[in-house]
Amino acid sequence: MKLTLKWRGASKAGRVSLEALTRALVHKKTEDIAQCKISHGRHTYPLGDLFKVQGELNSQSPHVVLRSRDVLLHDVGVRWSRGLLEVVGNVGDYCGAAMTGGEIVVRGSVRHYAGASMQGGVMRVTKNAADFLAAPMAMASLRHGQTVMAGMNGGLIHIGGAVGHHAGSRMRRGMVVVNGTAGDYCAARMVAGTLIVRGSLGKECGRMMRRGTLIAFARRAGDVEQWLAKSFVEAGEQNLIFLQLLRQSLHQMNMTLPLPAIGRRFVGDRAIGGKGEILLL
Amino acid sequence: MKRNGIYVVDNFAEAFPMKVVRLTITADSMRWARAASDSMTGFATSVIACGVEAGIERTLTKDETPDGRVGVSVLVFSMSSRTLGKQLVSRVGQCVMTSPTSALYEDPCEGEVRHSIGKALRYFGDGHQIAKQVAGRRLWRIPVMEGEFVCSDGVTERKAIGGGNFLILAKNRAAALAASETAVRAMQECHGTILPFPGGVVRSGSKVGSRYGFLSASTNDAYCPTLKGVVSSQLPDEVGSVLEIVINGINEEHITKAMREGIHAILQLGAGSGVVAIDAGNYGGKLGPHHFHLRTIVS
Repeated sequence: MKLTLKWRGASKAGRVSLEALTRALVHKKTEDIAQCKISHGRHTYPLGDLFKVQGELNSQSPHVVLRSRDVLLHDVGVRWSRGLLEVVGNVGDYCGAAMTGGEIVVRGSVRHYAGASMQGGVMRVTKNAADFLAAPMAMASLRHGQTVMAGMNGGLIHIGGAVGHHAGSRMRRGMVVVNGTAGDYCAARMVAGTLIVRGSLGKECGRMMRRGTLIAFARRAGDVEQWLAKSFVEAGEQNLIFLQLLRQSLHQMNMTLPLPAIGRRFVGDRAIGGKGEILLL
Repeated sequence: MKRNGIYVVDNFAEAFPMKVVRLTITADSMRWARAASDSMTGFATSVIACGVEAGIERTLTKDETPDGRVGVSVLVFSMSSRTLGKQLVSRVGQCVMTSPTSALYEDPCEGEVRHSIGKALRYFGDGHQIAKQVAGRRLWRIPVMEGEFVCSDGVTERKAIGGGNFLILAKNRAAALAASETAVRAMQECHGTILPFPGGVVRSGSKVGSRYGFLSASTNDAYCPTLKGVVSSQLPDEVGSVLEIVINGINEEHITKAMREGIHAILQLGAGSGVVAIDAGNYGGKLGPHHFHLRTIVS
């Protein structure tokens, strides 16, 4: 039993925000969801005017399919708490921000602040994510009515492609796995949690990192001097059981990563007395 | 009831509610997983003086452990939650953390009482310890001279039963020992149980109380062959030695299964093995709520 929302291709211009959708899915009956008010530009419209609504919804464990081929939808899955949200097509900013549970699968790319201040659940994106992945929602707090200075605080994000700058900024808990490359300031101001990047890294990774783990792959990471913040110290090559544990747990989540148990360990950012670690495998 | 020439006494084992935690200890090789678990479960035969009763439930293959290394599943029983919590921190800290390549994980289960392990031991890291959340488990990475000790933050206690038992009444010491070894081998295949005494066998079964006020338990004189004629003995004339097998388990079904496997293994040996009878220890049924009737188990 699933509910399908298909973009009607409205000609009106402006930003489409689906922030109200999550609450509507939890609190409203299927027939009332079409009346849920959706922000589009400076106005709000009933969901049914913008989307073709088909199927039924199991309110205990909702399964929603969102088809958004011609438009960039913002705030998709904000505060998502249970069930499965499948998105076919690219998605705008704040996808899965502050989500607390359930699963969001995006068959496409997401823009800025995906998984920002995420609390729990799983988000999978088959293509790319732009800047500030798993970062705090602070920039969004004006619109979302709250001040959140902590980044991702739980759950799992899996990005099939590349991510932009500031991925994992102020991240506090949880895990992010990036199959592609990462931009500048990856894991900057990271407080805790685990960020795995399989591709190359941009500049100044781990800048002002307090704790947490950034795992990079040596063959793809490029010259360490170029991407690592200067105030990291090397602890040498280490054989870590933690990496074996991580490999096993990712395998159980259908994410097979070639994580060897041995890697070079860098500790920092010592400029601020940080004890974060960057493991170069 | 006689089976294969061995008499099964119409008696029952009396067991008590206990609390248990299940731990998974892994290491680079089974040798070191056993070294850690043997050390941790050492001096844990009876709550009378050891605080806890602990033993190895079974060995684990690489596919069965969280970190993909070989390991051992350990059950730790106690009568009180408080004692269990204290003993866990001491034993893991002194026996598992110190053992090369070891890591310790909890077996996730439902329960109300949590005991801190890594949460308490993390201070050994002197500020360099790292907390991690992997697959929903909170873990601590504590830096040690060898590398890192990965340890579960805590474990959940569950209800269990301790004190299932049966007695092997044999003509002589050698026969009793051979029969008990056969039973232990058969019972080691039963998961969810441990045999906390050395080699799974106890020779000094006890009764409650003593003529000495400072002692809470003393020798089970009714089953001591050297006291026949001196005390009210329960032993037939031809019995010259008695050994007991004590079983703790996570529930009645597991204990019943283990007892059945052990007793059947002895009964298959037949009277020619020197075993005269199988009996069980109890306190008249007034102390423990769990009764394991031998004849029901055997039939």
